[in-house]
Amino acid sequence: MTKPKKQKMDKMVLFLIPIGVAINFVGGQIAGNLGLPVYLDSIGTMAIGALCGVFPGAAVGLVSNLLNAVTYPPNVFYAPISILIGIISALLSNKDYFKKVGKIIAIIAIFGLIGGGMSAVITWIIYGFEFGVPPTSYISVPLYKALGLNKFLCEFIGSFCIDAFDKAISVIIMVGILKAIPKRTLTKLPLGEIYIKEDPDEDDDV
Amino acid sequence: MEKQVNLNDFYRKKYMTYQKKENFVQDLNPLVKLNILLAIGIICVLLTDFKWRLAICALYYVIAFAGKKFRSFGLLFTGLAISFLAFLSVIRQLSVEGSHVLFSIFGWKWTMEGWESALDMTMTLCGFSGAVILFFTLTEMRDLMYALEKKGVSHVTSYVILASMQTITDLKKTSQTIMDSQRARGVETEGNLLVRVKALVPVISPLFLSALTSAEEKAISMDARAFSVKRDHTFLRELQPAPIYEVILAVIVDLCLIALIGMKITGRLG
Amino acid sequence: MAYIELKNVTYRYPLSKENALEDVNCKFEKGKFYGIIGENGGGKTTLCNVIRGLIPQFYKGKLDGEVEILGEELRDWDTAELSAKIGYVFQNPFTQISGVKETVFEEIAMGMENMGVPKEEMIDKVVEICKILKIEELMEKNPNELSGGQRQRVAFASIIAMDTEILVIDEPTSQLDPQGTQDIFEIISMLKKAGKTILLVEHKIDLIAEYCDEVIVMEKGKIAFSGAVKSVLANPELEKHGAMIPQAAKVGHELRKNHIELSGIPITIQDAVKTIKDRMGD
Repeated sequence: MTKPKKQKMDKMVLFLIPIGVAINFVGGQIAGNLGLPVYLDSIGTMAIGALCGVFPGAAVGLVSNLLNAVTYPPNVFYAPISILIGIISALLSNKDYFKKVGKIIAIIAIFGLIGGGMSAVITWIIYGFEFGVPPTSYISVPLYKALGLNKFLCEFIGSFCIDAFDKAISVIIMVGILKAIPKRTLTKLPLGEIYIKEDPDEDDDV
Repeated sequence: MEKQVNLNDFYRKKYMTYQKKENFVQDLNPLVKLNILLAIGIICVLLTDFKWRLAICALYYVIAFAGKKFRSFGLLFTGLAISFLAFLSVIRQLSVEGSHVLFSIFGWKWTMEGWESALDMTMTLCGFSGAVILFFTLTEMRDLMYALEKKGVSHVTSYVILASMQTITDLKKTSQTIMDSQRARGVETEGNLLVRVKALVPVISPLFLSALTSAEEKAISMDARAFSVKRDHTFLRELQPAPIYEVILAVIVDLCLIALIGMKITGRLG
Repeated sequence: MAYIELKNVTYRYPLSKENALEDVNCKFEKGKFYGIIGENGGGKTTLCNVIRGLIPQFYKGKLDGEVEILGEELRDWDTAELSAKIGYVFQNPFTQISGVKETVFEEIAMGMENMGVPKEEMIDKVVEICKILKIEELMEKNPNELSGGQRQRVAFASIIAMDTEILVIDEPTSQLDPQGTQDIFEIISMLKKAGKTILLVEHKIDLIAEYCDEVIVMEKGKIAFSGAVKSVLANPELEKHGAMIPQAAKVGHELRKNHIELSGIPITIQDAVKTIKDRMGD
């Protein structure tokens, strides 16, 4: 009896993956339109991860990067980061992280470190152990020039700054979205319950 | 009555045969094409000699031309190559130390070493990027997914990829509409950073929420189209299975790649 | 054994405080055309969702009572297999386009592809259906760029192409003009003649009167009336239960009020003309 139920749940999730991917793209586009110096290309990954779990989150990240690679091929190498963001988002969601302000700051730091750290390493390898292209190099190169620090350290700092800022905005937008999702929709999402139980005046009639 | 006969004939002719573009390059089996182009891309990355790499990039243009996609490939690839070159030139001039000064702008010395490093990196990126971009300008995503499905990839994967592409188009359109209407309603979309960040929420949030609710109906409607029925599917559009000469072509390119890797490992090549 | 039967069915959506269906009992026979009418929020769509097997598996919530579909208890059905037996068309035409096909022709063929229908058969079927629905001029168009009305037709075509025994159709004409609506009803009645069982949710009462065999009137999750179309729609009480009355029946009731006795309350215009003529001929 529980098995077909689960199947059904997965089915709904399947149709959410394309939406997560599209939100990633649209976020990037809007950020560009508004002239914001951020990517905003992981809101969909985080949201689907937080609402649907580890696998759907990872899938959104992977598909987003693959489709992005069609026009900007180096992106394919950054796929592991997107996948990881989806996974971590799901894990944190399970631990109620997206519901408390204090923890949201922790999330931003986690995403910034992972996103920034990993992308610094990947950039470092792809670009032949040197600085990559902007926007990170807007920070890393001047840093290197001014302070003469280790090149990788500069890349890492640049990467972290950009990523932390990007993820901060993304997480804030995403938390706003999570709050606005109608309960009826939440009941159909695997991790939706986390965001329903919060309401104390709701009697438990299910 | 006559019309019906015509339509039946028309569609039988259209779908009972393999889907073709009547162009050798475009009609290569998607997986063969992917194999060949990726192998060439990797070869280009491995070859350190500038002339060889330039030749391969030129080859991309030639293939694109033969595949009647010169314009779309050219625009995308050339644009990417120029932006790589421009950014890397400046960055490498700043980060790579060198003693061979080429010229100087207001006391900023441009060195040979920096320039070489930038050019080398640009060629590496272009060698790989060119292959990928070329593949996707020559191949429709649905054809690639068809070929993958034929190799045993689930139709669910295929659906997710194709639906993602359509959803991106749809949501981009909707986001533009929402943005315009928010602007009309007086939501500030220009000004300092904070103002613009704030403007994001009323744009992205309704977009996501409406998409989320539509996913529910989408699930139901796709279910009604027997999406999850476990049966062998038939395909209305079919592509020709890779003919033997295509496979041979792919094998030759792969052998070149393997040989090159061998030479790399044994140190016979730079 | 009934074709489709609901016994004492009560259902409540998750988080909801009211029952969406309450103690619903009804039977559907093979080959009949059923109209489901009633107020908005009266449970029409919920009833469809139960029969489609979407409740409780998809919508979750609490379902009591027995639901039997094609002689098998609903809970024993594999939902995917059930979807191959019951075609389902609903109101919103935008979510019913798959988004993965590039021409209307391929869109309509998709359900058959999933069912593994041989290609030649598939091609003929799509052409036939496009002809019936008068959408030949759309066949080569991109389904994602159509208007609401066009999409509604394509969505309808995509489902009837699958040739299921039962069709559950929830407001298929919301985006269509009167002519388009009439066309859809013609097609549904043609499908009925081909032996299909049809459950249709619609507001357009005059068309229900003209085409349906039986009518179910839903009110607050309960069945207020049900039975042969002629007896249900001729009932003057209908309006008190949130349902509309056909034009012809209104005329009939008015005449009765004015003590002009007719042989019966007509429900279609044709009917009315005949009844009144008979009466004048007396």
